[in-house]
This record gives sequence, C-alpha cells and structure tokens, in this order.
Amino acid sequence: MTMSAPRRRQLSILDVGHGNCAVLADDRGTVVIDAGPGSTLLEFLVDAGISSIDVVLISHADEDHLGGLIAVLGSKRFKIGRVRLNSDALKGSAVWDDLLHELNACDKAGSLDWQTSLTFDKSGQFDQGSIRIEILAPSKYLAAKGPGGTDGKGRRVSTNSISAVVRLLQGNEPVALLAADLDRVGFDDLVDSGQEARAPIAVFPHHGGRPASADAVAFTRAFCQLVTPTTVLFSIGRGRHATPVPDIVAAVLTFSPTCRIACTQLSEHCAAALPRRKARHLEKVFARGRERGQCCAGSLVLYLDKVPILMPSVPSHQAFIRRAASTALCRRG
Amino acid sequence: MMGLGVRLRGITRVAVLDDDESARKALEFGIVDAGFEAVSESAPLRDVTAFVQHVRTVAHAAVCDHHLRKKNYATFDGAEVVALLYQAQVPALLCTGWEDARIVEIRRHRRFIPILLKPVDLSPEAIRAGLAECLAEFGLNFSQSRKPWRTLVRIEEVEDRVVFLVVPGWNPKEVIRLALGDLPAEIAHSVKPGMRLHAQVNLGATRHEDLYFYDWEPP
Repeated sequence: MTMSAPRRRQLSILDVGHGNCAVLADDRGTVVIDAGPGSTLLEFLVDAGISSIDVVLISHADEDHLGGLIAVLGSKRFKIGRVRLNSDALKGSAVWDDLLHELNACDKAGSLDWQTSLTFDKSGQFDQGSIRIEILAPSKYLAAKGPGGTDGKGRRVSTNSISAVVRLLQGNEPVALLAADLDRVGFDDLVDSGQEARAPIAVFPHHGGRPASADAVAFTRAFCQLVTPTTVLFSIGRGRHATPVPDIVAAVLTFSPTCRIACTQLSEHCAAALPRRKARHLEKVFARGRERGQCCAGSLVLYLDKVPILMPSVPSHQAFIRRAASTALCRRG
Repeated sequence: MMGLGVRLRGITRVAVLDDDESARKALEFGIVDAGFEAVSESAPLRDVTAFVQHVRTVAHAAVCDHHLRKKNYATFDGAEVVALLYQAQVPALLCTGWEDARIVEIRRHRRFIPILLKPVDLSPEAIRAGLAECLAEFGLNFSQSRKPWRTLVRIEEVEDRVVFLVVPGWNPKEVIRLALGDLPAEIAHSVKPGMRLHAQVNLGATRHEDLYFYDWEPP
C-alpha cells in the first residue's frame, strides 16, 4: 500500500479571467471563496485531486464571482458541504436564478447545505484547521438593507456594496484579504464596524475597476491605509473592462509605496501585444490565460508554511514584466 | 505558439478540399509551405462516407473549406466531412468565413472539429499546430478550450428552427444560437423559453463559435 504525500496548505488565487476565485486547501479540507465563470475552478480542482469541497463562500451576486459555482454544481463531479451567500432581491438576473436553481436542486437531493447569510457575525464558522476565516463585511445592517436600499448616510446600496470581504489568518497573523467588488458604501460599512482589516496580501476590490461613483484615488488611499498591504493583486481578464484602472494602480504605488503589485492577466494597459515567448515564471496550477499566453502573474499561490511564501516569486515575475510589458502600470519611476 | 517545428509523426500527405479552384490552389500552397505534400481533391465528390474512406487511402490528414457545394463539387459540407474524418482518426482542419448562419450549421459537428480557421489565418504554423491538436485529441489530451463538462443550459428563446440559449457557467451574458434539430427529439418537442436543462459543453472555450453541445438531459 502506498501513502500519498500530505497536501501542502495553500491559498490559490486563481486566474479566472475577469472575476474572482480563491481556493484554500490542505489535508483537512477545501474552502472556495468566489467562483468566476468558465472551467478554471473545475480544471484546478481536478488537477489538484480535490473531489470534495467543505465550504463555498460567494461574496455577492455578480456572475464573475459565481458562474464557476454553477459550473461546479452542474458537473456533479464534486461533493460540496456548505454554500453561503447573501440574498440579493434587486439582482433578479437570470444568472442569479440559475445559481439558485442549481442550489435548490442539490437541496432537494439533500446533497448540500446552503444559506443566504454571509455577514460579519459568521467569522469563525468556516475555519480550516489553524486557518481562521473572518468575514469582515457586510454588516448585518447593510445586508438587511440590501441592494436597492440606502445606507445610514442615505447612499444607494448596490450589489457590490454587500460584497462579503474575507480575511484569512494563520494563527493570529493575517495572511490575505479578499475584497470582492467592495465599493465605497461597503467599505465605509466595514470601517464603521471597527474591525481589524490589516493583511499583507490584498485582492483589490472590483478588479481594479472604478468604485462606482466614488473617487477612485480617495477610495484606493482609504483601502491602502486600512489594509496596509505589502502585496496588492488585481484579478483581471485581458481585454475585458480595461482593468486595472491606471489611476488606481498609481494610487496604490503612492499610498503603499513599497508594495508589490501583481495582476493575474496581462492588462492591455501594460502590453499592447501578447509576448511571443512562452511564460516560464508561472506557478504550476491551472490559469485561464496560460494557454493563450495572456497571463501576467497567472494564478498566484500562497504556500501557508510557517513563513508564508507567495508564488510566482518577485524576481521571476519582475523579469517577465521587464520583458513582456513595456508600459507596465506597476513599474516605478 | 507552435512553430513549424511541431512534430507530426506519420503525416506527409494532406488532402485539400475547396469548391473554388483558385482557393484550393491557395490552400495547396499553404500546405506545401507547412512541409507537406498537397493532395488536391477534384469534383465530383458524391458520397461522404465513401469519400472519407478514399481520403484514408491517399492522405494522412485534410484541410477543408466549409463551402463545397458550388458547381456540384460535393454533395456534402466541409463540417460534415471534417467531423467524419476526425471520428476516423484522420486529422482535419475546417476553414470558414464564419458567417453567423454557418456557425449554427457547423456547431452540430463542432465536437469533432477541433480547429476552425479563417482562410486568412491559415498560415503554415496554424496548419501544423491544428493538425497537432487533432492528434492530441485522438490521444484524449484535450486543450482547456475543448474539454467537455456537464453543465446547466438555459433556453432564452425558440424561433422557428433556432434555439437561443445561455450557458451560465461559461458566459451568462452571451446568447448562443443552436439549430432546433440539434437537440434530441424529446427535448426539441417541449423546449420553451426559461427551460433549464443540462448538457456536456466545453466550458473553457473563449469564443462562442467554439462551443459544442452533446449528451442533452431533459429537465
């Protein structure tokens, strides 16, 4: 009889194109946080030999955060324990109905437990071994007001406003913050809740797109000051929505001047054409842009060893940027 | 990107099909530039099954335009013969100008057509890379854009002989056209807007014209 090697605990922030998806996995289990559309999450899970997902957290009701869950549920190849998401009566979109259709079918079959409740009081309910999973936002108040309503300052609450913001801690040390599509209303709700939000690695809200009508630079400054990241990630799809917005990247460089910046795919702002040579710096996990040569950092993996290590490494990624991205927004000076 | 160095063991002769003689000549030049001997197929091409057998005896692969019926060149379309060649383990590439109506026709066979190229994109590198992809699929090694997954499909509209549908796990914002006749009869008879059902779909496809569907399951 042979024993398989223990799985190294890791948080994979996947290149799904325009969208978000992160997978926390080790021998104890698997947690999926958001699931951008397409086959990326499916491919990643199959490659990693994962057939069972303990928890799926969906930040909010946008297709670039939930389409992959529809794909996973439809595939019938994975056992899922719990799914948590926030209700969005305003959404009324067919894709939201599609997800609820699949969840309801699983519910009737008794194959999973799903609930429309993912607010900051749920912190600690999804912990994975020594990894604590905090839900920093939305507050119960904002979630209850819901999209279509107004917040305490009379501002309109959107689907993005109630984005669930997830922070992961190893022991007592924060390791990553996943901000989904948080906008100014949601951000202020998080700040008002008085919660600690520092994290060395931050997936920037809304793929580096504009935070609705709010001032993008002011929003970025507030985010950087609250989170104090050493690495900011933009989960983008080349050719979709022209993200990250140059003003936002410039603001990150201003307000977090020593911070590493990494995008999953190569923004058209940074390189008008795709590199001719095959990228060799990418981590060996599935990335949507790899086959078409669209990756910049590709799928990033945070190995949660005693000292966490984020891959691809800075030197290899920087070498790629120097070679392939002549107008890179993340370039300093 | 694959260059001319792609190894294509066993392929030396490539059959060329096009009902336009000058276009056929152009295809032949491309094939020769890609390092193969071109075997030009002249009219009339009558029976598609017999023709597939014929290709197997004279060539190791094929490049074929979708339009083959002009001047009675053939009694079948390119998509049909390419799909049959694929199923006979003969690598074959399909060319088309990609008019939308033709995409609906081609989609019926798309599961067995790994490569769909515009004539202008038919470079020697593209020919070799395309044939290599066919060979990879014969070895059950599918690229991410070609791998099928069971997934949810929502019917948006049904019009005459066309079904408009959405694949939420692929791109919920893009509506795909499918010939009603491509659905199994028991589903085609009852299909209506709002219906949700499941099928095998290549969810990794980046373009709508590359999507294929099979193994439909009723709601």
